[in-house]
Amino acid sequence: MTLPPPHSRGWVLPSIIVVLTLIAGGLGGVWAALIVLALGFAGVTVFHLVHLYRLQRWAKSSLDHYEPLPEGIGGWGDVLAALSRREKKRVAFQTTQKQMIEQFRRMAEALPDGVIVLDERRHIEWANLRAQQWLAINLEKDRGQPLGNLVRIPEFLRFLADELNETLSVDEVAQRTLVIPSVFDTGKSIALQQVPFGRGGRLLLARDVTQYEAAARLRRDFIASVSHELKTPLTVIVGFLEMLQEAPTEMPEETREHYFDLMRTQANSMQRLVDDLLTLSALESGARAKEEEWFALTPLLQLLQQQTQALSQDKHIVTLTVPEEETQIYGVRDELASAFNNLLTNAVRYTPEGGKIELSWTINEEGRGIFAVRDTGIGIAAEHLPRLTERFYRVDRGRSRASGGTGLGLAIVKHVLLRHQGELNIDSRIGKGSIFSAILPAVRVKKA
Amino acid sequence: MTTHMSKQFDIEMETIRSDVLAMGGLVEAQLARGVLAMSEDENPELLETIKATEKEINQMQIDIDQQCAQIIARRQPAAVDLRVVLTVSKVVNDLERAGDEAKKIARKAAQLQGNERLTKMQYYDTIHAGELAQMILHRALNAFARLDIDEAIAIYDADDEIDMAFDLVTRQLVGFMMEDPRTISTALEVLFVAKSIERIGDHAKNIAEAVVQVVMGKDVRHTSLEEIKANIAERE
Repeated sequence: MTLPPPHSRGWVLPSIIVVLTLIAGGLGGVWAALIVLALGFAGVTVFHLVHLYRLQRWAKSSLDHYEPLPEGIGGWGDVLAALSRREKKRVAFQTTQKQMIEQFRRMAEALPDGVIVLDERRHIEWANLRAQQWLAINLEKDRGQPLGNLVRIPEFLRFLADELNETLSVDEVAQRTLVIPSVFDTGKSIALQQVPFGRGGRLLLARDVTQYEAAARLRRDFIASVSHELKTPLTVIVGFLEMLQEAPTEMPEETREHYFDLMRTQANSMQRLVDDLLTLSALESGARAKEEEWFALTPLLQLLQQQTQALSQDKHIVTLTVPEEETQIYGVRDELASAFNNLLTNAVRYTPEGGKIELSWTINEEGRGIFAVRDTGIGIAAEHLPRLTERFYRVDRGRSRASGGTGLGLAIVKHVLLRHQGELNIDSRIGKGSIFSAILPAVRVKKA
Repeated sequence: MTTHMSKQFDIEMETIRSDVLAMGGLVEAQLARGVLAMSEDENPELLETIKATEKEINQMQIDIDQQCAQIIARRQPAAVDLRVVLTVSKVVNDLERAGDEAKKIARKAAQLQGNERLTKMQYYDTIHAGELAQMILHRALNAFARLDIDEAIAIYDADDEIDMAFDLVTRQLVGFMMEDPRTISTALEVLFVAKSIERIGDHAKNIAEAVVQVVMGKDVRHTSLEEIKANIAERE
């Protein structure tokens, strides 16, 4: 308890009244004294009431900002001045605190991750905008709502039901990560982690892992595809081997030869697949077997034309058009040769007998070199075009395998061109044929 | 929600709502699997999961009904609380049936896989209707969680959209069947799927009605949308 300051002016008025009363008593007798006393009290009461009224009006004002206190006389002046100082301090303190909270809030909003604060019964206390978006919650409406009522994914409910230990290590938190699809934005994957926070509450951290998930899925799919692609020929080989082993003598020479042929075909396709896989992995690893160099293009194209003609066994007409002026290309010759060759093999494979395959080399006005393969083949429907360079993507599984494709050819082409800062353009119409163009940047092309 | 003298009662009321919504989550997941089964390649694991979830849904229905009975017996709830408890029973019923339909969708869709008669392109609209049903069920459950009457009413319109999608699919299928009678048996299967989707839309609408009932204290089944809207306007 604090005592009133010794020099408080609260005593002044009563003292004056007492003095005045005594003087009046001395001068005019008892009645005069009583009248002065009564008037004095009335005056004091009015004085206090006025101050009280002002203070009351002030007390009702807003807490958010500093509202100057009413001025007072005498003892009231002291009290009001002291109150005024306290009020100023309080408002200043409140302002800094508000700024700090605002700062924290802005920090949480600036995070690239989602943050949600839950109380001990998993009710939403606060969430930053990102978390609100990803989990489709609206803080204004949903504060105090159990989070599980809105994000009802069964795995998530089990995740929330987990009891959290105060001494959870970072690894343990990471181990319990849950990945769910974003509630509203389909196609987005959100990884969630939770840590104890506050009194029995928890802090939920959400991260966008869409790309990571997509990459992981791609890897899984790739391994599954490779296994599948290798298994098919292997099954055939194993089947024939068993047949040959079980009936070695009675089998006519002819049948046996036929079996061996079939086995060899399958073994060859396995080998091609493994070769392509190795090529692709070499391309991806970025390691270059050979250095880049300037080399003459026309001899290479002529070689490719001959190879294509041989591959088609003269069932197609293969033509080559090159500008008169010789072109030099800067790049890895073997890689580009294999990429071009893949395009030509495809053209032979998917063009019916008697069709035409036209190879051409042109340099456009920007100086970029375009190697184009135009065929009169079966063509590709538009819906397949964007996915054509994906590994093992096939328009028609049966036909592709029957014609000896590995499903990796165009993936290799794309990679080779990427390494040369080039690109692959595909233009195709069902039944009309296709044009595959490998485009090389101007810096890699020069007229010799 | 209003607070009660007894904190325990508050917790019980909240638990019951959370349980209903958790059950809703299971049904939503079930429906998502059904739609996935239509649009993706065969997946034998999916059918196993669906069976397990079906059991879980049934068990939850029984549990929640029991909780409702207990609350009525022990707490004698009044006003809003009584309405919540009563509608919870109804919502749970609708959810269980929607779950059943979702299971049927997944089963039929799995049978449709690898079918040569109708390609995926041809029942693309059915898949779309399935996605609509997913969305409307999600919104209905959100409306129930938030006791959001505006959202509940918006669901009426969304359900009309599903009904329209169903009509469209029916007409399309009739077209396929007339063109090539060999598609009839497959088209009928697809029709069953579409019908299940349409029913899920209806169940979602029932849930929305339950929300209106809780909030307004008025039974709005078999009432036209205009009347409900007029009622709300009156209240405000």
